Amino acid sequence: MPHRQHSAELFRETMQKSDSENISRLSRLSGLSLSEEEKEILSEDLSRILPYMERVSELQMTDACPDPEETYVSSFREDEAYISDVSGKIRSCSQNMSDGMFTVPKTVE
Amino acid sequence: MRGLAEAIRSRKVTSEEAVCAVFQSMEEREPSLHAFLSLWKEKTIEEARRCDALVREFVENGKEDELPPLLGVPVAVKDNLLLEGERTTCGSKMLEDFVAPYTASCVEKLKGAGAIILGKTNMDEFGMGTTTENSFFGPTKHPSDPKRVPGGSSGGSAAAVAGGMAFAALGTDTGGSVRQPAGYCGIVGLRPTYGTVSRHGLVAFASSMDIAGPLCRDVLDAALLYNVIRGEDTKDQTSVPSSAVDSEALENYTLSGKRIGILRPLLENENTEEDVAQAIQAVSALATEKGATVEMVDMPLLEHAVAVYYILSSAEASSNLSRYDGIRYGYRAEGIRNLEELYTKTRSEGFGLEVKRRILMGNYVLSSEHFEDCYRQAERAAKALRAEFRKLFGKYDLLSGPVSSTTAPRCGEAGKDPLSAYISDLCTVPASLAGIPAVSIPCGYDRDRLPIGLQLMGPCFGEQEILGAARFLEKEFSLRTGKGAGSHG
Amino acid sequence: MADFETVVGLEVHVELKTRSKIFCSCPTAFGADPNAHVCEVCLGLPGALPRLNKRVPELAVMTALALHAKITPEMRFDRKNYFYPDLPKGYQISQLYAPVARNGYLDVETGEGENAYTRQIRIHELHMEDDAGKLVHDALPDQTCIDYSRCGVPLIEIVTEPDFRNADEVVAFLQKLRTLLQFLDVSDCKMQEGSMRVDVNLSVRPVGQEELGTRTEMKNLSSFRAVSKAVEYEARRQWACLLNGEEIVRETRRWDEDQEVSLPMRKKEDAAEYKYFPEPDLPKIRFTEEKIEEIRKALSETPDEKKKRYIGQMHLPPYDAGILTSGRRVAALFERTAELCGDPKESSNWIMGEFMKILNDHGVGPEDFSIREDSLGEIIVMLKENQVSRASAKALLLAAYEEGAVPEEYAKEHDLRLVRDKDTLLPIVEKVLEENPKPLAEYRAGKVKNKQFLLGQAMRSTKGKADPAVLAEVLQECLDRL
Repeated sequence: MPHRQHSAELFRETMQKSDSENISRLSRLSGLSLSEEEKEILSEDLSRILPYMERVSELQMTDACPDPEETYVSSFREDEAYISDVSGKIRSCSQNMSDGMFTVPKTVE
Repeated sequence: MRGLAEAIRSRKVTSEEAVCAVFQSMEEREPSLHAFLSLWKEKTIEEARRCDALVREFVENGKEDELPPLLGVPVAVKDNLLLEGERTTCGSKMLEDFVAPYTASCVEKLKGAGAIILGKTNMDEFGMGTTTENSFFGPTKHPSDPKRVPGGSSGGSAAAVAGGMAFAALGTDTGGSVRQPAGYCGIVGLRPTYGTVSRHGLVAFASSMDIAGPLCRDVLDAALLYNVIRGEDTKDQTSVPSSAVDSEALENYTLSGKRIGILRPLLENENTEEDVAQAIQAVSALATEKGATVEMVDMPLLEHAVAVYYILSSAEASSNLSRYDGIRYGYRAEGIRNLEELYTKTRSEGFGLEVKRRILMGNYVLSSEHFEDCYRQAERAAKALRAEFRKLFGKYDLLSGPVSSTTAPRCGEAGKDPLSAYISDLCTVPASLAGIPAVSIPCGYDRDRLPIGLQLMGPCFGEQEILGAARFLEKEFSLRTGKGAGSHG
Repeated sequence: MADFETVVGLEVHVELKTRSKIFCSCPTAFGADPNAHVCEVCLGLPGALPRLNKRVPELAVMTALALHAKITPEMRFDRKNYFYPDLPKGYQISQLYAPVARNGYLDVETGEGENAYTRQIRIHELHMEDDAGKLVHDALPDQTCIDYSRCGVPLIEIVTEPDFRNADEVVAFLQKLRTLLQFLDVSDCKMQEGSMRVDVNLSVRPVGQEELGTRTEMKNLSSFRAVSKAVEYEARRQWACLLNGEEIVRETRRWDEDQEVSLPMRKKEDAAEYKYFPEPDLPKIRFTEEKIEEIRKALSETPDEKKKRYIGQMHLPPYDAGILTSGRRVAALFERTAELCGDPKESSNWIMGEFMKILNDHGVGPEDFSIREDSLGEIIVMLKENQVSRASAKALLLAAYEEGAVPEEYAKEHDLRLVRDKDTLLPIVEKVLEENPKPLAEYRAGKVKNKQFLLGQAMRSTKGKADPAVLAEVLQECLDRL
């Protein structure tokens, strides 16, 4: 595998784009909405953490060798159906139900 | 724990007495330690009485041998292991009111062995943290020093055992969350071989590295508890069969002739405290004295171990935590105006800062621009690390090092710099990435009388080996000073 | 208009006929109360883990083999992450990096008469995944309701290369695929019920251009007819845009049944970012050569293979063979019938004629019937052995279908068997001769064809119950004696 400079450069480029833009996009992808304060703190944190993690891109390794400890699915479940005895308890885990269905704000498709 | 189990079976002590003793400890210590999130005193006492009645019945019919091995012993369970009918919060606002509709497989086994689950213990939110300060419900304190942390994320379980409030506890270890608190609190913590304990009912953090493990007062307790909770489970397709640990063989184990490798990067790094280094050296000397060959081992890949761990665990965590949306269970934000807010408001209000941090990190490494350079590279590195360990275990019976570069830090330190907190996981993440078993045992104290933990690692399914060595050293330590090999006081 | 070429690729999702879901033991059965068929696994509760259903990879591999695709020896599941209320875990367990199979094909025959041709449609890949729940929008005014009973039902997704060039090819492919999957008992493939779903990827380009145009994706197609119309509409729409100098927007469009147009769907931001990574809760699945061979052996003949055999070995005309292989049950009935009576052509005639008529009369579809599998064969044997008349045979078939009657018994009980006993027939014939003196006299005088008339009269007297051959013999004997 060739020496990977490109990723560190890409990261620097990415960070040159506004930090706020990046953190906003990342938080959207994460299903989160951050307060301004959180954005600042987390932006700062990530600006140190992410380069630290991305150093792995510089490691030279091959995909070649198989893993002798690789496990495969050893026992499959038989195709038999039954109603789970948990199902009744599960349905009582939510307060937002109507006629046996879970409810969310109106979704437009 | 063993002692108590036997005493109950032989009717020298009743379960009710044991439970009351534990409650007594709790009254004194729990208000300041805050190890527990849920306790059910009446239920526990009733349960204890039932156990005692069962003992009487069996003994009267000459059937003592048929009594379950842990009958009547009060144990604590970390709050990310589901127990049907009770709250399982994972230390998070997101699951503050979540009542588990089923019981985790390993907890079922615990109950099947007759143990009484007396409460659920505090933890860093969803297992993310090294101090238990990331719990939504407030931190747990170190049993010896209230200004210090017990470690994390199984801090509550460690404090409960070390503080005499439970005879044993179950914790979970993803990157060191059983071993490190055990080390900080001066007790024994075992991370079993990945897959030997079922993950069904263990709230997922990093699926490929999560595993439940015992926190106990001594090695033989840990072995017994491991034997109880282990087992292949059809409900967890990553679970694997394993053999029970033989406690007689543990007692007969000797280090004479064994080859031990101390992983140099774990011992000789800029964060290692002097007293910790000295304690490990002392163990090394002791082992040599007892006939083992001890060598320093280089492992250059370890330089990237923390990065690899955080890439893989954040990626998996960010996905595992996507289910928390308030629709079917758990916290749901108020005043939601549309579908997007259902997700973003619920999750932003329900999750703490560290959890958010990890979710963002995970999304970063999994996004298409970075997937190849971060996630795939980390995957390869983990595979290479496993291969490295396999090679080393061809040469050494055991690999060792401190379970942490430091002893228990003061409260509030970890939050200052998340990256430093992550780097402090260096000693424990390698075993997690490799899926190998590792145990932490107390091996001394530092100048402030804080416990120092020694970590022993073995090849996959090597629990017999590492617990044997641990038992051997445990006996040696108590022979020597009654306190540990490298004691300062 | 002739300047442009239409290029179409399909993504077909098919619900598998298994009893339980792909990752848990909840029933897959249709029509349960909302959220009746759920458990901690398919509802994505904390701590729940997937448990793979044995039957799913078997059916997937079987389908892949029938589509001539190469099986991936070590297949893996991957997580496809996105947020939507019908997705309880916040991710779908699908396959991206190591799907069940790749590089297959299906030959599709279209066109009529002289213009008939075969196009080979290449299958890019085939993979397993779990279905999402169902959103119900019209139960409450300001909320959407969710039923997770369907969540976790096993799906196979079949992705083709962009090899289609017109709507007819697309429909022919879907029909052939459906027949194949029904044949293999892999799926019901009922579009109206949602057990077969089709997404159409369509682009246009000037004839001769190698590069593909920008494509759109169309969803919400509930029948083959809708697919056909959607393909034609969208191709025209794109041609018109390009002629107008507009660019095609790469987007997902919804097919509107009523207006018969495609409309842009609401754009989801970052829709393409699924953060795929290998599913850590499920180890790889290894399919050895032996295991694949086992499945290949269990693989029933495909319709194509049967058709070849019917034409080649049984010498049936292609038209007949086509009808008899249009469904699994009809083919099974035909094969059993031919086996019992030894006459494929006669079996074919009976099925395509009398049997289909009965089904039609009862308003039953050609694959929805149920009949004792030996009955038709036994009836044909009885007919060939002259035990019953053709009319009786038809009556027997009706009784076999409506009442489940066993032909031999029913014929006995209802006195349908032909009379073959000469002693019984003799007085009847003699009587006929008595009652028809003139024709008899003419016969004896040389008018040979009157024998037919007399035979006809005799048959009438027996109310058609006489074995014609025996009756003819008796008549001849009587005539000879005179």
